[in-house]
Amino acid sequence: MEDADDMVLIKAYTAGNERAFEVLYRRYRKQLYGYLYNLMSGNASEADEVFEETWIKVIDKLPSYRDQGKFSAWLFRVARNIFIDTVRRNKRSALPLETGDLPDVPDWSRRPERELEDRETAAVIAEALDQLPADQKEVFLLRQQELSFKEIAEIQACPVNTVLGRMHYAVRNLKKLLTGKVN
Amino acid sequence: MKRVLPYDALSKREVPEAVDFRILARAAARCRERRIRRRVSIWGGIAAAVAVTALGSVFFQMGNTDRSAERRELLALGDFSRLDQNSYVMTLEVGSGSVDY
Repeated sequence: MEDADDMVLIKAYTAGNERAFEVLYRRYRKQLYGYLYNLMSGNASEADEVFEETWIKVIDKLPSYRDQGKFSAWLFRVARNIFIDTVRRNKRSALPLETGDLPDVPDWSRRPERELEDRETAAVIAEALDQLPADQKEVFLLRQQELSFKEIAEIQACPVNTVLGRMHYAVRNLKKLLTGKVN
Repeated sequence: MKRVLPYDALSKREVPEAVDFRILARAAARCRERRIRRRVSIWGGIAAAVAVTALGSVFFQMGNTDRSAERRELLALGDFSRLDQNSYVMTLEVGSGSVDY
């Protein structure tokens, strides 16, 4: 069961197999929680709330779920909608998307990856991510979950080119922010 | 576009145990509810089928009884021997002038 396809697990769960849901849940829980936690700038209580609400909705909607692309894309879309509702409810304004030209920055990506792989660096990136406009931050986080640009476009309900643009600016802004920190 | 490699520390995060527990408990409860509902609907379906069959057989029997009674009446109506005889007697009487109109 551990290796079963998402759709097989969904069908098994809706047919009455509790264990199937547990396998599905354990497959995506850390990714979804990581995405929400970073999206909410490390606010654990709000991340918990949205995370739980997302899974409750998923539990209720699974019987009517139809196989239309990746389950993870659908899961993140549900989470995103609940996140937006929560932000509206808590009246927290999202940052507008920045599209203006940014100054050129050194090619920071040439640095060895190993330097980035420790927790401290991840924390620095997370801090830098918080300074990005909401849309760019979200694209970057969804990309971290290995979703395709097409899937991210579906989640954000915008054209793929917009997503590509957001990712481009996200990486550029992150480079700028992180170069500032390194220097 | 260049692929941005995922950093586990960024992309994954341990979920609090209490949240895990609540979600899995909810999923299990919903699963049980669905199982019960399915069983109820299966037994309900069987009960309905039995009831329909029983009612059907009762009506069939009633229908059969009525139809046999009807048939007897119709057969009785089809017995024209007596009627013909009466008619013959009447015609005879009319023809012989024994009946005044």
